[in-house]
Amino acid sequence: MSEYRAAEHVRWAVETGGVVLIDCATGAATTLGYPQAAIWDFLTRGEPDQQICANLCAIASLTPAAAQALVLETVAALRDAGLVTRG
Amino acid sequence: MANISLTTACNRDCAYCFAAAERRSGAGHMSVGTFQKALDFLERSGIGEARLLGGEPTLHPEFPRLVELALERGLRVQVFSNGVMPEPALRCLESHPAERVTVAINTSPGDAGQQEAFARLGNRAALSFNINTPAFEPSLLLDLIRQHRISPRIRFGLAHPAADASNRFLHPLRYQAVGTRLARFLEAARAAAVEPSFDCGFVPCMFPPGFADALGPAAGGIGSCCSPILDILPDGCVVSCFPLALLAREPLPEVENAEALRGRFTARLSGYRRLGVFRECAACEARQSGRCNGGCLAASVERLRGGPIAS
Repeated sequence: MSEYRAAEHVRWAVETGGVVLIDCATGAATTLGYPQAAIWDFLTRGEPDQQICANLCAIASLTPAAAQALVLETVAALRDAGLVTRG
Repeated sequence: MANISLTTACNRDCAYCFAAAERRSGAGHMSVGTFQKALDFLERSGIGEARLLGGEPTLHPEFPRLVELALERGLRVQVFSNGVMPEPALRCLESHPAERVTVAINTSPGDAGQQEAFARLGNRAALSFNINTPAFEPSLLLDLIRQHRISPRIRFGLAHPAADASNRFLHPLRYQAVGTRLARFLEAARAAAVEPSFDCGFVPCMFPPGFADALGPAAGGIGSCCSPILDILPDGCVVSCFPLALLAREPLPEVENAEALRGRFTARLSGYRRLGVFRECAACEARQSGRCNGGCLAASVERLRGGPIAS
């Protein structure tokens, strides 16, 4: 399972072309397009990091190294924005 | 506009009631002092009409006095009622002309309990109809208007989710079926010289092409009428509206006017406004061009995953 999950105060909705994340504490909205929206989806389903990378390779035609880099980068950005927490 | 909710008491138990969560909170009746503060708020906001609702507002034990207080200030009074009201309330309402007092009766065709109110209120009364299913028959409303000679207007509302979504609200996936039925009804309404109007939450894409043109000026509010309304509750708090009570709620301001409060609520809800009632809203041309605001915010919030919205 990924070491990160959605922060307690975050809710999200799937849209055509991505995912909207709402920080219910502040009311702020963040939009994720694809493939970052797919990372969010896998992460909130509790997929292991390795599986998220494998899924990304399949759906976004990425090499394993590129998929891993994208996952790391996306999760770091979400963490810095307070949208995911460790645990 | 702003609504004043006089009481959480109600003599009906409508499955679609979007004030259900507030009614369960048991806040009771608004005090006369709070009502006066609410009227002060309307006056300093330049609002010329006191819109009284509930629960069932006429069940407030001092309802006639509250109506008089609003009228004494030169305000028009509009009451949103289910039409089943105590005799003193009915007597009070029928004692004023339609220019000063009107009553929007939230009706269910065939409801015998409302007949007396229709008969006695005459042109002070107009029909209001909340849609919670596509299986409704609006032509029965025309029969009511003909039969009782009440005002030839019908306000249609969508049953939006209550703050805790515990009511039987109209899911946006059913909007198109509702829009088709309303478009079909428009012709019959026009033939009977009855003017329909549409409350908040209606979106252009729920209607067949050409509907807005056929409707004329009344179509202006479709897709754009959430400002938000402001509902003043019996306990003296103000919420953006009943369905959004968990997201935007403050004590009734002592000094500020409705515009300032509305601005603060709008800012607080702006992130949620990014959502629309459909997942397709984000890419919709009507949304991007500002012709549609994405529909009812409460229905949009229902799309959120990850757990209920905390209060």
